[in-house]
Amino acid sequence: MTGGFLIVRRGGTLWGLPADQVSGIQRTETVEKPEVPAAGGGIELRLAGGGRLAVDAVLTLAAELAVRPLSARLRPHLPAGSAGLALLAGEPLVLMTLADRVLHD
Amino acid sequence: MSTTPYLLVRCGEKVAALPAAAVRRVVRGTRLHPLPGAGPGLIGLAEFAGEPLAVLDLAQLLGEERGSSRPPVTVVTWLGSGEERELVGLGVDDAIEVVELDPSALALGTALVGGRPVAVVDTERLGVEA
Repeated sequence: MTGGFLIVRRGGTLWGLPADQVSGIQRTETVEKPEVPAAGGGIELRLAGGGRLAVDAVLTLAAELAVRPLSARLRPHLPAGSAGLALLAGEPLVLMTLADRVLHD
Repeated sequence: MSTTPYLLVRCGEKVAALPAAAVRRVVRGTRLHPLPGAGPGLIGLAEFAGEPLAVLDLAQLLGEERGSSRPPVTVVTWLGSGEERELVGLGVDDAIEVVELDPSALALGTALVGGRPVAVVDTERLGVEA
C-alpha cells in the first residue's frame, strides 16, 4: 500500500496514517466465535515497521490531506504519535506518524 | 486613560478575562469529537471555518480543577503571536460580558470587576510552558 493516507476510525475519532507505513489489513474476529467482537472493532492494521494497530473501521484512502502540524502549545495535549490535524469531509482528523512506532490502544 | 476590552468568561468557580481583540467567535453547542488518549487539557476536536480546531479546557490551562462535565461554550481565540499565532478553541462554562480594563491588568494578571477578582489571560503566552 503506497501513497496517500489511510483514514480509520478509532474511539469515535478519525485518524490518518501514511498509507506506505501500513502493510496490511486483517479482521481479527474469529469465525468460530462471531458473537464475541474483537477489541478495536475487529480490524487490525499491520504496520510496515512492525507492530499492529486495532481500529474500529477502515474508511477510505485519501490521496492528499491539508495537514496543520501540531504547535508546541498543542502537542502536549494530544496522544503521542500525533503529528498534525486535518479535516476530512468536515470532520477533524488526527494524523499519526508511525516513525517512532508510538501507538496507543 | 485608555482601556482595553476584555471578554469575561466563567470557568468553574473562576472568572477570567480574555482580550476581546483575540476572540474570534463564541460558540455554544460546538460539535466536539473527543480524542481517546489525549491529555486532560484537551476537550476534543472540532471544525471551525473549514479548519480543524483543538478545543482546550481554559480552567485546566489556568491551573483549575474541573469536574466531569464538559464546558458547554467554546471561545474561538487566537493564541500566541507572530508566526506562532494559532486559532484554538477554549472551553468555558459561560461567556458573560465584555468589560473595559486598564492596560496594567494584563501585566498584573488580575483585575477587580464589580468587586470580584478576575484572572486576566495573556493569550500570547497561554498554554506555553514558561
